[in-house]
Amino acid sequence: MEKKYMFILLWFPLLLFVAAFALPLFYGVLLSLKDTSGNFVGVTNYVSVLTDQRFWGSLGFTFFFAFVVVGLMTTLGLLFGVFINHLTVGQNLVKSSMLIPWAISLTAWGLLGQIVFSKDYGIVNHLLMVIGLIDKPVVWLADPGNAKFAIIASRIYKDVWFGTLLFLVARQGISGELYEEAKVSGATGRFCLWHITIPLLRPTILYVGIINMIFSLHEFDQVYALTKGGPGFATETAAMGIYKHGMLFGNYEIAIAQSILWSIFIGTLAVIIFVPGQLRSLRNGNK
Amino acid sequence: MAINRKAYTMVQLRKAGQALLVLALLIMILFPIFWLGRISLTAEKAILSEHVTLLPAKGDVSLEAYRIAFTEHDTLKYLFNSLFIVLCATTVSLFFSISIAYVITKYEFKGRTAVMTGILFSVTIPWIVYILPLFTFAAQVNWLDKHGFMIFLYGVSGIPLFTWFAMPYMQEFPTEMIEGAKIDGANDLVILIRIIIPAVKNVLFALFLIRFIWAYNDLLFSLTFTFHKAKMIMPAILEFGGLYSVPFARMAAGGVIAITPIVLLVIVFQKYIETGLTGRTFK
Repeated sequence: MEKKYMFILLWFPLLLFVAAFALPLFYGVLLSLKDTSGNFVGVTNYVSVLTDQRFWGSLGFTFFFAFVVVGLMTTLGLLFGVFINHLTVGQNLVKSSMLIPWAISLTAWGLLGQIVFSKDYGIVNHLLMVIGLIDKPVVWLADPGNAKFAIIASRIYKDVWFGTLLFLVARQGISGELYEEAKVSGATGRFCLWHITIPLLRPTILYVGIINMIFSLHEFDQVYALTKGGPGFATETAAMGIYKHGMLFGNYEIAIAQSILWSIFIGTLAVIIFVPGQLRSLRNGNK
Repeated sequence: MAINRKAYTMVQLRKAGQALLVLALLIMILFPIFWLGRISLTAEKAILSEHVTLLPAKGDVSLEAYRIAFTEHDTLKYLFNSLFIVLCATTVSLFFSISIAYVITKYEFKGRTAVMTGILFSVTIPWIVYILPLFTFAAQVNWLDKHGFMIFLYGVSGIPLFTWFAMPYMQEFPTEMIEGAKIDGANDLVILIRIIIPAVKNVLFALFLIRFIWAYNDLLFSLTFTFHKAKMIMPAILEFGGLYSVPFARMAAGGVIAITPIVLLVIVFQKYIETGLTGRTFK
């Protein structure tokens, strides 16, 4: 390929990305070594971040959130997908409506969350009382444990349909003959699920898991719109914590040191888990 | 005959049972959106009642929340800003993504693995970590609250993920077609614009829609970098609530207004979005 076109098609857009994001991040490393008035203070900011309980709390909640959300979205998505595949009526109707909750913004969803989880006027408490699960209204968003539950549950409710759709489409791609043969040899439905469906859906399971994992570790929008990380720091994700320190409280140096540490943590995970497999598939694809 | 009728009844019963299940699923999927609309159309006072009903009483239906949204806030301007910025940015993202994916999958070059690693790495790094240095920089050069800067940010930030999404399609693209065009004397830019893009236009449009939806829905960049002139719809609807009260109808109306373009897009182009979402799995 000619150098000129190599530059236009590859290096130019990559340079834009580097200029817009990678350079600011390096600039951030410099800033993180200074104090408010610009004096060089070495790793002081990092020491105060690493000894801050709240920082570790936000990382802990982010990983907890991500693992629960990814685990449940994948499992429930798989079950819903397989189940919807068995429907003979209205399958397409369900399939096309699933995209709607997935496509709407987490900001609007967070606002809706404030409304439905309201203690006295919210429909969640109302429904739970009607079916008799609780006998007096539950405080959702002002109680640390319940707020965590609310934020995780509402995230899953909105986006479980992404996995469901992918599993449904992948399941429809598996040949029916496999199941007929299994049935002839007397296999039960559960046997088919474990020995045909799940092994053949493995690539989809991995894909749904990884995409959801990446997005949940970035979690900011819904937290900001629903709880702003509260009550206290109960639902503060890493992104929320950095935003609060840096943009709302003016603890700029702390926030920037947190940003650098957070990108190192995620980057390490990415290099260990995500990158090698993807590079391999790129090389195999070119054979 | 009797057995036949029995079998027939069984089939009918099973169908009815399935129809009920479908109905239950549809309610589960769509109820939140219905509820958002229902609250938005109810007078604030009527929402603050401990008797929750499926529909508001006749006298409690009110368009007040929408009136406030469109008269006391510049909602139309924010909507326009969002749609304009995201439309331009998505075009940029998709063009660059397809072009990078083309070069990476069809050519061996020095640094290919490094480029690929960098792209995958950038897919995973949370956007929050760039926010503070970017904000400092943009404030110094006076780029805050500018349409152009937002188009640049949303345009360029889409590159890593959508390059990764576009790669399998580029891998599958017949190399013979590219080589044939080369023999005819076409350069790579011409090949990309005249041959590849028309050939994969459906996929490209599907990915375009997905990127459009995600960028439009984003809160982090829009909240941090726009406040007035280029203010976008997502941060704007957070302010409908006001500081001292929790007016649910206004918040819900904000939600309805913000999601309407996306819901329309999904209804009209659902087939494309479905293809775009399901096309990229692991091999």
